[in-house]
Amino acid sequence: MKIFCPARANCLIYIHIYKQKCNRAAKDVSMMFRRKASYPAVAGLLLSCCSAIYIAPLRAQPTLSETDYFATDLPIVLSASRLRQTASDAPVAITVIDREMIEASGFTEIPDLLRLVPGFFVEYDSGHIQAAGYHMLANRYVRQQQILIDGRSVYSPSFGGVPWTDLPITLDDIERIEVIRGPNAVTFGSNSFLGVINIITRPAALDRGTSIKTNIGANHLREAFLRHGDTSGNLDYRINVAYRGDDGFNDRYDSKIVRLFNTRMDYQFDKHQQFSFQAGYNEGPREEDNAISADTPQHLRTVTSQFQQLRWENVTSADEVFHVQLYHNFIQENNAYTVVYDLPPPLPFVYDEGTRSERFDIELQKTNRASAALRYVYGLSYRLDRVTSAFYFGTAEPLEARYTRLFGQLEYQLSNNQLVNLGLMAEDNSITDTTYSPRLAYNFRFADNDTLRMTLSKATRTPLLLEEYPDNKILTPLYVQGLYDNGIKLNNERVTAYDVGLIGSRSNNALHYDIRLFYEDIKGLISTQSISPFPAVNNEAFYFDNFDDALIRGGEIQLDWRPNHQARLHAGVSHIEIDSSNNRGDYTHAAPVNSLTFLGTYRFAVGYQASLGIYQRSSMAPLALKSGDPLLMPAFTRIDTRLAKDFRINQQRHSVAIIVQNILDDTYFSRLNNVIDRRTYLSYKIEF
Amino acid sequence: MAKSFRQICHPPNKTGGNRLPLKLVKTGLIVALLLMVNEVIAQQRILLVQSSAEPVYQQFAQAVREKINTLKEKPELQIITVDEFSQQPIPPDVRADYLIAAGIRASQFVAGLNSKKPQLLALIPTTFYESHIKTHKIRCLPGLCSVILLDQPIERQLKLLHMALPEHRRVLFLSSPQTSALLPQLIRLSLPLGINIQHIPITSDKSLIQQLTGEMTAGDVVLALPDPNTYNRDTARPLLLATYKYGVPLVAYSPAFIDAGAALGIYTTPEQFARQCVELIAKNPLPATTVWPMATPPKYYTIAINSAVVESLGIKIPAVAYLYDQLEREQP
Repeated sequence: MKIFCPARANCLIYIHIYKQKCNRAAKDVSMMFRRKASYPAVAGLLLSCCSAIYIAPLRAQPTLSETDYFATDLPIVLSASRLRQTASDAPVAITVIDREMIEASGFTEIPDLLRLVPGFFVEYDSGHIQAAGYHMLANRYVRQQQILIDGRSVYSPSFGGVPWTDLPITLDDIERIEVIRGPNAVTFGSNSFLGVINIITRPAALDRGTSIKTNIGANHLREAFLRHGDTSGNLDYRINVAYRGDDGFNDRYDSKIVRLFNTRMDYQFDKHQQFSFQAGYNEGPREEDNAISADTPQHLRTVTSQFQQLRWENVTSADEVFHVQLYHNFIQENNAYTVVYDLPPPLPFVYDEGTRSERFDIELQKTNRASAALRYVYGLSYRLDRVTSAFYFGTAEPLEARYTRLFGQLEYQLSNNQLVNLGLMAEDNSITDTTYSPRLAYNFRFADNDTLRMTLSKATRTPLLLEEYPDNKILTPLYVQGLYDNGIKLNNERVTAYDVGLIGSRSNNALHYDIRLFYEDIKGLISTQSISPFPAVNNEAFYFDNFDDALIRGGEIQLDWRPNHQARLHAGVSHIEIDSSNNRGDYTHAAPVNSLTFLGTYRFAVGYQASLGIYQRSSMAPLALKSGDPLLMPAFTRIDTRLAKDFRINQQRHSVAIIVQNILDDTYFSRLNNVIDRRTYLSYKIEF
Repeated sequence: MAKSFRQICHPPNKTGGNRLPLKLVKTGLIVALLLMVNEVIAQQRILLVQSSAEPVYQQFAQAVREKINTLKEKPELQIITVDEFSQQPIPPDVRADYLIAAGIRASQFVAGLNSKKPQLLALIPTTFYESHIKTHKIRCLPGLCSVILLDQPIERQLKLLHMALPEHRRVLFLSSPQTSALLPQLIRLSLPLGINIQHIPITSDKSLIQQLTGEMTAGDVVLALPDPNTYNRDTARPLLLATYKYGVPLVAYSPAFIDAGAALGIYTTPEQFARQCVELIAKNPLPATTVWPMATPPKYYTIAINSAVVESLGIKIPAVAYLYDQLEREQP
């Protein structure tokens, strides 16, 4: 086996250790290298840049001329593609996690940010596999929600959900996250089933200068980030390089190393046209153990992911925007290991779970305002998903899924206080039939600052290629297992959602509230059935089908309060009840009945900032584990704190922070009995 | 003159037939006088010199022509750019009764003509007026020369800001060394309105965004005053993105900035400057009876709101007509 250690003196070091005897030792050695050599080397290299800081002086002073008053060549910076819809006008419930909240939370993992959203639950399968789900945490892949980064879907074509650790972005790249609570297939297509996570990265224009950041702390967390951004004529660009690593959970073989690069270039052709290019790359080893399957030996899974994204926008006015977007996602997992079966003589058996997936997508969209009362958006897109895995599909040839979409939405102002939103998404895909996802929303502003929202929407989740065409025959010396296609044509999972919301503000917009009641009727949840195809042999095989229905009801309250310029409080509670047929899984307990999220932050006058996060949920059970199972995840209350100090030295901005997660050390169990205990780390950032 | 004309047009008194010769004499004299006056008016000439042929000067010149055509006297207007003037084999008649310069370059050119005729220097930034005209680096004879400034009075901008966003009392003022001198005046005028000015000196181009990131939370609104170092084509994108990111509306001084993403703004169009210019001439017919003011701020102005940005920021701003009326009432 290979353990990949990060660079030391610009070289790659491979340590070969035979796994059976030395797995733990391998981890120790690799960690030693990471501790003593690689991370300090990377961090030191980055921080050494500080010694040569050059402060750009003000350029020669241009003289103010009359043309400065009548300039006509300024680009339309804030247009419909960038402007957020206000909560009172939106047809759906939205939680916005902005930069201030991201920093105040002290989180180092992107999915942890979703703890700030009422109704969202974040659990860990391992140190590098997170499961974040809304209203239902069905399994580690959480396939019932869409995830987009700058309009690029990162929903995995191979396994569904999102491989958070493998995304080529860092938490610092994120400008804000808009979480749509409820179905939104009318906008984003299938898989926008129970919710949509829309991650928006910072425009390159806001990243001028150089930034170096490092995090170190518990579980051997070691992260270093280098970002540089500048402008050249009409081009704004940003380059990011990052190294991330940690040891994962105690008593698990689940450390990770992430080497990451991404770039963004925004070019303003003229007043109306903007061209944007983004690309990213993420690779590194992730340790895997036998927490899921007792036979699986400790081994390394290596992941390489990359993307390229092009976007051209023609902004005629703040309301009228036409864009064309193309992107390509690629992710490859090398995941081969050997199981030695205890037979006389011991028999090695090689498993190669390698998977390669790609996505090509093109979208054209027009947004406009027909009159003061009527706005609309329409467009079409085409997507090709291609997945290759001899292990899961029984063939080395790639399998493909194609999606063609036609969509449109109207927003009509019936009167000064009434707004109707009507939309339809028609989607034709190569796995199931053509589907139609409509939505009708009515917003009634019954007082100056209070709005009632009523929404009816339908959405679908299209089966994955893996669910529709599995052919995973594992014929081991001791037994037979695998996934197989039993010839059943799967249907889409379907949800009909009814939503009533009360949205408003108080104290001159200092306090925003959002109360939501929901009723989500889900049909045809896809899960697996276990059978024994060869009764005479010790064997087990699985096939997929639309086995279950579920009815999710409940309510959420979200508050965001800025009592003054120094303080901010964000809080949310949710109550969820699930009725399900539970034929092939305990959906009833796939979400906690009650949960709470709270984040408070206060800025002191002298550059200090203190933050407090409280996250609480009642017990829940991962899917396929019956209630009462020892792996039931019990209730927990977790308190995080962050204390930061900002200061300046000459032109440099410095920020140092200490973060303590679960400060009371009230340990609790996440998925697979992973223990969440107290974790402390330091963060230091310099910008110049 | 107009009063005399109206009197002339009154219907004759038909009862006084024996006074006909006297009346004829009077009428003849008045007609002769009128003809003389018309001769004088017909001879009035205005020379308008543009800094260049850019659209802003063209719009201004065109508007001046239209306004002049509405005058009863209809003086003769000649429009020329500085470059055209220099290239003419026979220079235009600089003995025009009025000289109008549109822009800095034209003002410098007109000043160089050493004319003793009334001169109007229009479209002049306050900073240029302070540094070149007030200090006599450019010839502008008191009483005969007047400057129409481009900049809105700071008091007008502060009042608009106060009326539009009464709850936004922490006003960010971003300035380069070129405009820092405005700070004392800004603070003095903001005090009666209960506005608290937060000054952010911009020390370097690259630090603009970093400074904003650190300081933006200290303000509720950005008041943009003309400053080529702070507000230009290169900084517009990051600046507007940063203000939007922090939910801080920007009050701009140009229509382009409002289109680009400012929440609202106040500015004067070339047409409005032309109107003010022609009115000044109309109120001061030759021979000059009044002394022109040395410098006047824009008399007419436009208020504009970017409703898409305002809606998205979740702020409420009164209608433009209301703001305009209120501002007019507050005019000294």
